[in-house]
Amino acid sequence: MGETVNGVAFAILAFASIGGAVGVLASRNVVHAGFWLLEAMVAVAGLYLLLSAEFLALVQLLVYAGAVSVLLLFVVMLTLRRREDAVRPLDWSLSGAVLALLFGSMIYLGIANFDIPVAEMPSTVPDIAALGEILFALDGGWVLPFEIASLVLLVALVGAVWWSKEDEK
Amino acid sequence: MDYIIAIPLLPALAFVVLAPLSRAARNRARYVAVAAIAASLVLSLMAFGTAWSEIPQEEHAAAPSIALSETHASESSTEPGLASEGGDELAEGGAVLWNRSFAIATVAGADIDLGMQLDPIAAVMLLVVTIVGACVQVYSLGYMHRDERVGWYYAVLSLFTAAMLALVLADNFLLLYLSWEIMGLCSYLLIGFWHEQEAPRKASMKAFLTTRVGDVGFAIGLFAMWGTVGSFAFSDVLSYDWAAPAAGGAATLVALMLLFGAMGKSAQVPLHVWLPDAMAGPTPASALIHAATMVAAGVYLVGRALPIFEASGVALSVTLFIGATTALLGGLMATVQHDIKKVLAYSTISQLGYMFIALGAGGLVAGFYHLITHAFFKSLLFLGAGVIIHAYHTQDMREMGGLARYLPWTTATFTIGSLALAGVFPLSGFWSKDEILTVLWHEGHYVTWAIALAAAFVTAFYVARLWFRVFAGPRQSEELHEAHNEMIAPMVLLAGITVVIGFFGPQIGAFLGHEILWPAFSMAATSLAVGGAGIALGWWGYGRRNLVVNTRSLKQRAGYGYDMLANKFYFDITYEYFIIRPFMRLTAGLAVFDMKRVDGVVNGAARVWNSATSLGAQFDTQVIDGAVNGIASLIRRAGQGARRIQTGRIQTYQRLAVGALVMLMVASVLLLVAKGA
Amino acid sequence: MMQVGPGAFLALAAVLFSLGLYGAVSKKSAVMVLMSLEIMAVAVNLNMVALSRWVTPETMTGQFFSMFTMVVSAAEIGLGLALVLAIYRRSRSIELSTMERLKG
Repeated sequence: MGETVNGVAFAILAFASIGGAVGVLASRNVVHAGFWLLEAMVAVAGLYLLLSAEFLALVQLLVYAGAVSVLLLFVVMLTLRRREDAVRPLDWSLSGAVLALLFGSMIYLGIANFDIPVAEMPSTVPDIAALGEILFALDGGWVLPFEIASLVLLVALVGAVWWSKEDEK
Repeated sequence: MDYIIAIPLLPALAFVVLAPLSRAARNRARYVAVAAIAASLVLSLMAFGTAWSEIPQEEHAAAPSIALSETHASESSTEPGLASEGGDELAEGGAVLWNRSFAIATVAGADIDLGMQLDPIAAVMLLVVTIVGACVQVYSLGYMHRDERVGWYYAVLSLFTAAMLALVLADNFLLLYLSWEIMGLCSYLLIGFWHEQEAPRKASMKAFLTTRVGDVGFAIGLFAMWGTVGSFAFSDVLSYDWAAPAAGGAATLVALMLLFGAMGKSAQVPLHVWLPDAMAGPTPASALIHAATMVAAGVYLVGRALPIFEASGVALSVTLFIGATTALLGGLMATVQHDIKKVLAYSTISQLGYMFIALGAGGLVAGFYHLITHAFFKSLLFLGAGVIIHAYHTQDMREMGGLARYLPWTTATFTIGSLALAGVFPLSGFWSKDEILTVLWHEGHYVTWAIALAAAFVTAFYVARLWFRVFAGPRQSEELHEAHNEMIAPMVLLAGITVVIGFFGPQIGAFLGHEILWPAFSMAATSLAVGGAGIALGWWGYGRRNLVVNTRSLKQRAGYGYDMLANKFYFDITYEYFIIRPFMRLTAGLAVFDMKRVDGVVNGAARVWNSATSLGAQFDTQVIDGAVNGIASLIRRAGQGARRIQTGRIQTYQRLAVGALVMLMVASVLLLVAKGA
Repeated sequence: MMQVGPGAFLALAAVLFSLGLYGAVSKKSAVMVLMSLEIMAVAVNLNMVALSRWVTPETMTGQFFSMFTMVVSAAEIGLGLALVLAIYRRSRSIELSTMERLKG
């Protein structure tokens, strides 16, 4: 196995992200769940830093921790008229738990039996500048997917506006 | 000769151009469709001319036999050389002048080709389809000009023409089947063209479902064909040794299944019930689809596959039986209809039965000859009926009369068509009908010959009844006006063809690969006498000047027989009582059962199905026959099983999807582990 | 000092994904389901970034992939929340149990 990352930092961040996810699932209050999600997102951004993906870590913070969580909280605010509405009974599902457990264990079995072909990390870790260069390289770059992604966002934006506007009746 | 590809392609392109346009733009652009069919007509004429000059016709004309392709063991012993030669040529559909095929897929190592070929039969059919198609499209410019969806009408008409042209050019059964289904779709769309009204809507459904029953048979036949031969190409399938012991009963199975498909499309008893109702569509569309081309596709299919039928023998007899039954019953039912288009529809059924008789007797060329002549004169009659309907604003013949003095062109052309249908010398129907009678006599099918003669008598009778009702007697409306020129011109053209085509019988026969002789005098005299008697009876019943036509007196005189005919031989009623009603009771019972069992929530699928079936039942009756019934209840049972998981809760679906995924993962991981261990 | 390789990241991603999956099928509030979907999306991204770090460190293919995944999931959450709002206006509720019109 080629290089490794700091185990202690990983352990802390992994604990934080799993804790955040469990917090989302275990919260009775929807608002609390939103905050737990925020916590999990920040922890994952830290994991990205550990993986020397600084740009992604930044985007993760901006998009998930910033935009998505705030958006979620806004929707909660708009749809719950009274404070008590936010508190709801915990939903448990045995079949869901079985499914998730089976799914997780299958993935674990898969990973355990699968040799990941590991390449050597270059001596100088590619930085954000290198990322940008590859992204916009003329040959073998990601320009077309990038443009399509922007189009997808635009369409989603229009769709969201369309759906959330008041009915004109 | 690759321009032949463009013949079906041009109308298809017209559809592609017209379909996406807005309604207004499409209406203005309808001339695109007319231009496309006109170009196809020119190309077809070129193709036909080339084929005509390249086929050596003297060779066949010299053959000393009458037009027969019988290869039964008993027959072939008398003229072994000739019969087998004739059989081989038929197997190839005559000489193939041009062939192009494109592989579209590889299935289990076998290439699936879609190809086109030009042979004499295809060349003649091309000409028939494009001439009638062009006439109908030009006629429709006048007939449909006030309709607000005329653009869509032209688009569908173009698609239909393209499919029919592809069908006659196909060099394999697969393309034939594909075109066949597209035509079914177009037929459905055109019958239900005025879908704001209830009758066309239901008629389109009835037509679609009834022909679909036949199509299932066709599909099974194709499966069996592929299983036996491993190919769909005419050249492979028809040269296959179907009579060999290795083929087993495959020939009979394939032939009967193909025949079943043809019966649905060509409205043969007992799958004929959709055609009269299909008259709810626009009249020019009826002329093209339900008189000249699509309904003839069944005859074309059986004609193409005739070597398989001959190898089977049984299938040939069944074809003969079905044809004879249909020819007679269809003619009889036409005698009591009051709707002018329904008379023509039943007449079409009867004439198609005639063609099946010819094929069943092994007379391929005689059948095709009648198909050709019938296409021209029957579309002429339909176009004339359109003018008459426009003039009187009704389809009921009891409210018509006296048109002869006010619509001279229509009267002249319609009369020519009527006389051709009645088989009067020297119009086209006379020659082709006599050809069929000759074949029957020569083959020794004397009973069928008598039935065919009876059908000819009935035909002459209802033609006379129609003619005297519509054109003679006092007029019933003040404002009778002749049609527009663009409607008259196609009718005149078709009438001209009807008059002259009979004289080219021998040439056409030679071109198609078998001799058509001038009818023997005795045969011609017999059929003329029978036809004359029918016309005379029609005149006696409906044409005498001092006669007040009184259906009631006829009903009283004929009694039981009239009831039977008026009830269309109880076909619809039988379907209603034995198929629709039990089916409805079944669905109703199951619906109650469901409501008690499942939360009292009526499921959407069942409701849609119930209303669909009650529509069909309320309507006239039967829509469906046993096969559809079986399929329907199968679907229903499957639906009942499926609805239990249709809870409408997104998470249930999610669970099912993820569950399936997890199962896959379990399987693949177990495999991985097993491999690793 | 303890060191970890790609396996640990993949295992962590699997745990996160399973938690998200459980939430997505068990929660009855549409907003909670959307949160669970986000957890799943993040788990997928983590997976790809980790593989990118060890398998294709120079071309960073996994990072680009997760970038686009983020775009899609941002679009998804935006549309999803707009839908929740639309449904809320219609039925005054964001409970999934009220959305059963597809019941067959």
